[in-house]
Amino acid sequence: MSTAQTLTFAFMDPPFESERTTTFFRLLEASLEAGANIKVFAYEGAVALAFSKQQAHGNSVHGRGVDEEAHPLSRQWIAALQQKAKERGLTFDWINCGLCVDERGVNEVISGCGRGSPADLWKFASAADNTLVIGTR
Amino acid sequence: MKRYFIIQSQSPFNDPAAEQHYALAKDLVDSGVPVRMLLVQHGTTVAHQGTQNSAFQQLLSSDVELYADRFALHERQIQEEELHPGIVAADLDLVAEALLAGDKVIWH
Amino acid sequence: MKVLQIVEQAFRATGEEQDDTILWLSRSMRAVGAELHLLLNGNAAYYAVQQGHLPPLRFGHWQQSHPANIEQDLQALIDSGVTVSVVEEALVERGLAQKPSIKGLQRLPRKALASLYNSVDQVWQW
Repeated sequence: MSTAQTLTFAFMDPPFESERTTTFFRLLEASLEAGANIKVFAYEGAVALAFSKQQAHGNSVHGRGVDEEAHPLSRQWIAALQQKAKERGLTFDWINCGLCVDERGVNEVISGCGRGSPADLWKFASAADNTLVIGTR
Repeated sequence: MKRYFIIQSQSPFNDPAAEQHYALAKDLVDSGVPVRMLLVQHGTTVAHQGTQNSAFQQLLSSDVELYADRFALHERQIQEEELHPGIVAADLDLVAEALLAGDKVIWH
Repeated sequence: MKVLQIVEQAFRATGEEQDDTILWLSRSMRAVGAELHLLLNGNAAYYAVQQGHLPPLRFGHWQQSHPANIEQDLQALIDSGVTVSVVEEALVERGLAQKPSIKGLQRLPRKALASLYNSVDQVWQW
């Protein structure tokens, strides 16, 4: 059981549409670097971040095949952060809003990501040392 | 009283609400609570010397400490020496530290 | 822990829960004991003066059965003990100041926001 401080993040944006998504992942990375346990509540489009069927593709405009293109996928970013947390003895909990998942049909998620409800956001926030909400636009 | 750490992602050139966020930061610091603001994403565009926005000029002359996300600056090829005096280039570890210190961290 | 929930976006995703998604989330959290103050700002000022439900969507033979009823949802939040406020200037700027607002909803001048922010433990800007 980690004795580190815990930070909760609520996030709403899908994988690729906004600069907020990459800033959010950079914030998670920085928080792990700072030694924090992480709890994420993914709401609305953010539930697609952990969708396990995301597929990399080649890019003919770039003239690169699948392997060479190495397309970024948010499920891989989450997995990389999960691994980083593990290596540092920190926890990394990820809960998707279950109803948001159902509506979007993105039920299949990578290992280590679960489903819940806004009650879980309140539970996370109440137990954490601090919380940051990143709204969408 | 907890300090404030405002993450300002909106630019006054596209989002009129950004000017209200600047004014709110000034009001918060005037209420006696330390306020830091980190410009991120398009929020950094106002940090370039020569930009013309009176609300941001007022913020620059206030007691709000101003930072700009180094990654966002690099994306936009804004050099650190091109920033308005008083704005410090910073990384996101500043946000993590503020969260862990218990600051009220607000995303705009 | 008391949280200030700020809603600035409006009519953005009212199809998802046939509700504003942040009002819906606030009601869900309130149901498990969350202590909240909800502040409407920006275009969400329109929510403060809503009456009845939104117009139902219709596409081909499909028609929405339960369009969002923001007035009802805000009233439910107020009735559950959540203080709901709107920024007075956000109403004025949009020409809404003379419209009747939802019963029990407070109007706050922008200059009062610093004091409101100082009165809560966390500020969640949605």
